Amino acid sequence: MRSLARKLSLVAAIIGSGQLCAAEVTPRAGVVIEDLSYGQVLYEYYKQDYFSALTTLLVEEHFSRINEHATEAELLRGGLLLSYGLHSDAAEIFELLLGNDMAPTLVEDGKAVFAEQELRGRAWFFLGKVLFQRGYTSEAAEALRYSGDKLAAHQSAERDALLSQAYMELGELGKAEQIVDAWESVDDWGNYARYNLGVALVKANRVNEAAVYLDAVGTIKASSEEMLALRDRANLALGFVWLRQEDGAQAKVALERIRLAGPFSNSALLGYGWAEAAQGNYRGALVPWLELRDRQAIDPAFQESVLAIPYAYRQLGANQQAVESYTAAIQIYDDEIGRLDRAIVVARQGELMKQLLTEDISDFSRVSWSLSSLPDTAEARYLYEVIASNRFQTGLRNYRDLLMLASHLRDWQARLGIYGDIVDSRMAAYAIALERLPDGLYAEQIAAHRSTYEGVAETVSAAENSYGSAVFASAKESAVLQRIDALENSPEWAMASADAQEKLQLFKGLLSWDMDSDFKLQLWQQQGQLSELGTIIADSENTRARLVQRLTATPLLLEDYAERARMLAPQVEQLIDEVAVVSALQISELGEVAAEELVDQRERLLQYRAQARFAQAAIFDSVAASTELAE
Amino acid sequence: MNIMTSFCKQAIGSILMVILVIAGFAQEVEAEAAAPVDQQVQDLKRSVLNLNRELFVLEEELLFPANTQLMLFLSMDVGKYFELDSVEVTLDGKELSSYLYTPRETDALLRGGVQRFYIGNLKSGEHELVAVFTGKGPSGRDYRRAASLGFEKSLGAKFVELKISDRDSSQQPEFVIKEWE
Repeated sequence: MRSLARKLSLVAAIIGSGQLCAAEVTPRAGVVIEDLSYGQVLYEYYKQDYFSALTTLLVEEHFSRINEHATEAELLRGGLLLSYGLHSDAAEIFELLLGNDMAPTLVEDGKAVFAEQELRGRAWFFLGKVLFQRGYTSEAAEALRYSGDKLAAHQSAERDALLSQAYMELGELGKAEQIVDAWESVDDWGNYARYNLGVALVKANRVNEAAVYLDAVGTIKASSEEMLALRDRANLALGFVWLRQEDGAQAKVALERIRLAGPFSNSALLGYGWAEAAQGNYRGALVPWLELRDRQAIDPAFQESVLAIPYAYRQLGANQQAVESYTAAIQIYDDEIGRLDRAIVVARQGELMKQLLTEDISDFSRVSWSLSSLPDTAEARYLYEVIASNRFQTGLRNYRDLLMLASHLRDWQARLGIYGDIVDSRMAAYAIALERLPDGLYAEQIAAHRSTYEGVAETVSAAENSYGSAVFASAKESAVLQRIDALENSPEWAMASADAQEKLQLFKGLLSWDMDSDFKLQLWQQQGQLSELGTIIADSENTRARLVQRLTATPLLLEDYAERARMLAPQVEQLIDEVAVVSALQISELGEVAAEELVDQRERLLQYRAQARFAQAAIFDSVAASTELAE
Repeated sequence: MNIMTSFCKQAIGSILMVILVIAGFAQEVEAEAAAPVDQQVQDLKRSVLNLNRELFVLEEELLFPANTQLMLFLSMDVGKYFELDSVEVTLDGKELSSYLYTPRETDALLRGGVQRFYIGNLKSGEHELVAVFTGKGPSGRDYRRAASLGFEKSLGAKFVELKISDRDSSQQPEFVIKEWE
């Protein structure tokens, strides 16, 4: 049985906050692999080497080595193109798989139909995903609705999350709520959906309903870092929503659930201070805000707290400490603005990106560089936020892909040179071999053998038809037959005695008897030998025909290889140049993205500094006014 | 006092705007709209992919013509009783190829991927292939087993699969070499 029976596991969705989810288009669980080549594509895919997987798939399809899994392979190709960022190409494949009518087919019962339904469901799902990523939200929602109920559990969950998200973006919050409320399983996608719905409801000023969803996510039992972070995020959002409603007590409940060692701890401390302040407890507000003072100056929560501390002192009537704190805050903002100015210059010059990209870039398959690999420079520490942004990550991924393309192309450049040499040496070897061949390639000899063979075959056939045993007479028998014949034809024979004539007839009869008794055996032997000879001659003719065909085809084939190599070489050269140009553009754009982010940070600090100065002046005015009043 | 109160609300409001972003989905649309370079990168990827296919096809036709082609593949079914480290293959007594596996590669095999272990040329006639599999056996001990296959190479490509599977009846791994049509 030509099959590889194996269970194929499903790839878990890779989801990071704000990160593109890698497209997982794995075969159905329990699929039996019938094509080694398809398994080869899966091997590259499971190694997360999408470029190799795509190339392998294209090559194997070219050689028609994927037959049994042709449709699955196309679906996989669409998914690979999607993960490789070629959205329109992926969409084309999914649309083609689904047919021109773009509507779900009505199917009957049965396994084959189930497989078809499942496959179409996946195609709709991925098409919906592509459309969503490309901003065609309404069309995406339609495609996702068509994906049916045959998807694997994790894909079904992702579909529901995407569909609810699409409805939120279309402003159809009711439909999104229906999906989220009907969510039965406890999974990560469900948590994302609840969180996003909560966010959407806050934006729609439906705070109380939003609080229910955010509170649900804020109290999940999480074990993965991803879900722990989402839980913190939900609690932070909920805490600040209550703060905006000036409900410090409820805000504190949510904020207290945030981990102190998590990524949102600074914001939680800041919020907790505001919650205390909202309840009139400024002394209590100072505790978390002063705690923030020892943290990193680039953190927005720290920067906010620098301004919040003197605010609390002022509320407590400690004007002296408030003034001192504002002075310290202004100094902190001045220092940070100065550093940011230098960082912006460095970013615009491209130096920042060079520093960042000198880190390990040999492993092209990494999804993104981790923040821990940031160079330890004064400028780079401002980039934490920008690097985590999707825009920057997309650019970074593009740049990494470009590096990989350049590496492939340089490799091909070298190999094409070698292949050119191989073709040349084969052509030379062929010319030498051609010289050694005899004229006519044994055509005459083979024709002569064929002619002889046919002559003999004719004789044997004639003997068989006429039962002519004389054909197989031995030399001695032939000689005797000749002598008898000569004797009978001589003029004297008529005068021979009757006894002599009788003896000769007897002798002839005996000879004929002997020859006839061997005829069948000899005929069989001769026919056997003739057949063997016929095979040998036919083999010679076939070998010669192949040789002639090869001699005709080889130079054409070698010329074809040479021509293709000649055509491909300049294309490789051109693409190397284009990759270099686009890489430079990409670096420049990344630098600009970084600079824009730094400018935004600078603007924020300028506002803080202005507020600090204004508040400080207000204190001075107030003190002066009260002094004047006292005087 | 009024200034501070408005500052307080403003601070909370601005932080809330930062916090209230959706999670779990990419903002690809924004990235595409904001980055014209992105379109150029996608165009380049498409061009290089197509070129790459042409180059690989040329390479295979030139270096490994169908008439003499030999391809070896390696697959693993479950891997409960065997943890693969390396494979060495000899053909007619001569070393053909050997490979040391990384965890990522063995994982890809265990999930159903099939590795193209070797591609080369072989003349027509009778041949013998021997594969030696090294790794950890059922009890975590070093494990080394060989499997062999005598086969005839005729005109046309030859595909051979080195297959590692679990034999539950004996709780041992099984190593098989099989020819494909």
